[in-house]
Amino acid sequence: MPSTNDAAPLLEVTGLAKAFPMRVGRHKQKVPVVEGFSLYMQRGESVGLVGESGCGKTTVGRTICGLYERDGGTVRIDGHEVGASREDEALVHKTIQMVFQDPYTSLDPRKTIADILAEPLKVQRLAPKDQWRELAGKAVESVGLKRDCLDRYPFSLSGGQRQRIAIARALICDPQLVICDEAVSALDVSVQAQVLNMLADLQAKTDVAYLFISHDLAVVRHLCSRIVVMYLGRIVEEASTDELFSHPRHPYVEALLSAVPEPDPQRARAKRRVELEGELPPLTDLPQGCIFSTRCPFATKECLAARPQLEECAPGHRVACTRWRDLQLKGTDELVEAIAAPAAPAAES
Amino acid sequence: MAFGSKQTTAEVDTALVRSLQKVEAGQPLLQVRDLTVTVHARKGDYDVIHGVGFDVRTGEILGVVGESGCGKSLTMSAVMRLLPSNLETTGGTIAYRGVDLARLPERDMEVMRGGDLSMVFQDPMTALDPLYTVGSQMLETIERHLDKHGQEAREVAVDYLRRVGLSEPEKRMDQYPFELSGGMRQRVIIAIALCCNPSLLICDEPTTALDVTIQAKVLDLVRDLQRQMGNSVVFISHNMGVIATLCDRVIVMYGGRIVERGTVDDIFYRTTHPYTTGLLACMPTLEGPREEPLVPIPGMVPDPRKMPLGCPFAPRCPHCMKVCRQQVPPEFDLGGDHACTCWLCAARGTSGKLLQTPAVAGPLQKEAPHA
Repeated sequence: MPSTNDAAPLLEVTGLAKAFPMRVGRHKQKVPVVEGFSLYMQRGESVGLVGESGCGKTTVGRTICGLYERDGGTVRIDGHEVGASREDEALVHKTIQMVFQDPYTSLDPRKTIADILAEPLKVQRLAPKDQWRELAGKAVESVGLKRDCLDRYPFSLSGGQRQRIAIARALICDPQLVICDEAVSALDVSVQAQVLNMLADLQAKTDVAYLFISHDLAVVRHLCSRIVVMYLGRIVEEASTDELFSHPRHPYVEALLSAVPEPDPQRARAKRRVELEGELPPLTDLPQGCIFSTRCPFATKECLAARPQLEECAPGHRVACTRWRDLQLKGTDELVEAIAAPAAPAAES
Repeated sequence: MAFGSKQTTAEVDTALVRSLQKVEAGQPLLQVRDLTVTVHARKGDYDVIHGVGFDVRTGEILGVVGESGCGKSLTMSAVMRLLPSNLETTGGTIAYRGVDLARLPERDMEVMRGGDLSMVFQDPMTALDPLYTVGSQMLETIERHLDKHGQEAREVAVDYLRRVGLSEPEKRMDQYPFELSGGMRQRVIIAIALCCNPSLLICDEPTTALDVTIQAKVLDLVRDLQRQMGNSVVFISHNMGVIATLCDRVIVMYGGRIVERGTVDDIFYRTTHPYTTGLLACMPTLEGPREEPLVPIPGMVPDPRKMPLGCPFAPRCPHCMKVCRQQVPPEFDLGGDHACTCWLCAARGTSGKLLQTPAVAGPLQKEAPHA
């Protein structure tokens, strides 16, 4: 569980920024995709990173683990600031591993499962060659597969099995943090449940931390104890899972919660939807002031004046909204109770 | 156009449209019976849809739910006659307002498809032609089916773009798909599907590729338009939340068969088939305690080439009995619209009368002994 821990956090990200060159009209310019992203993670903690497509959550994950070079900000692992040196790069790779969304493209089709799993051991020189197979065998067993799949190729495995291999590959070098980028989104619900349970079991055994990037709020709620919500490359709210779902402070988060379909007809009928106006503005033309102001139902003149910074509204609960004190936003349960039974639409039978 | 045909398109249209029967509200608009779809493969043919039968009533939203590979999309593609070339409808009838679509000549089917029947596909990024403007793609449909041209057709198109909630519809008409976001493209596709006022709209996972906020908007849109126009909608989804939010009745498919059907309340509150129970139990939800482990369905969807001999769900079923591995269960009537294809209904002695005689295992199934 996350708590006030005096020791240095496992991961400390401050002011992370990343810009990509894009064509704007005739000119090429660097467009900021992520700005001012900060995150603290303790050992064994699960943090969810949610937001809609294009909000920069994948960029954050990739920048943290060094797949993208960052344009600003600092990343500290165990209190050690990560620079650009070779040693630091090795430290990052040893500590942080990644699981990607699509298990069909993230495994090399020309390698056997044993080769795929031996690769991290080889690159990081973690074990002598004669132990690779044994370690790979243990790794596949830890993700609930049988050893006889070691000599098979990825094409002979199903999507769920492949994602298990991808997870085994991430865990084989005993990382302290695994960044799961939409790791269960491509899987069917029953397989998704198997993989989610497996991730929780592995965490209980190895005390690994997860940064779980997903657009699925129900999945994140299930797995993570703390959630960070992003919008247009910036954090808009961060809170413990229970707090975020029961007392959201940012209008965007309320809208997001109201949009999740409930797998329960009565709740679904009684659920109030908070409609958002318009479309996501393009990154090349960000709104003045608050980035959410163009779609926010509560936006005032002040919101257009200055971009709100993240401020703490309750212990462990940060929000980037100037009006959080005035707004009475509803959590998931309140959204459902807002209009109870009468508005049930015609359920013909 | 077929060679040597003497009828013009318009004549075919009117003759066919006149032969369509009127259907009262609440009566079945589409009746599918014993639909069987076969895959022609080099190593021998095998069935992927095994005698599926269901009704779509006028003015209802019917949900079709199941995991990928259970035959939801194939069933609906068979209804629309849009199966890939190596697949064929080899049995059953698809009665739509008194016309059997399975036996309709392709030329007549072209009249129906896009006009009286239309379909929205999953991926809004690939369903539009990138080389043509939104307007020309809409006009194509309108000119073909409504016999309206020029300014008149354009007005219809603009009107439907407005109805699906696109801002500045006049401007959108002259834009190309790449200029629109995913949510806007899906709206355009829905507008194209609706612009000829179809009696039946089939939506094949139209929101799966979209973000939740946009998904919620598209669901609202489908429901509002359905209420306004009173047409029927078949909504395919693997997301139980979407089904609960939108649908009146639901069919649950597994292994190319319908395993349970009923009103949305039957399916969610009087769940009978172990597969439906499993689907509901393995979904993480927004309510209740969150740290309890999910209850996954063990195993995987069966390979259609190696279907188990009895019930397709038997190898994964926690209540599997001896009979389940030997014989495909018949459908048991549970009262009202609720029916379930599971031997447990017989074992429990539910009100169940048999709705159909037990299906005989096909030759392919005999070859593949169960594990």
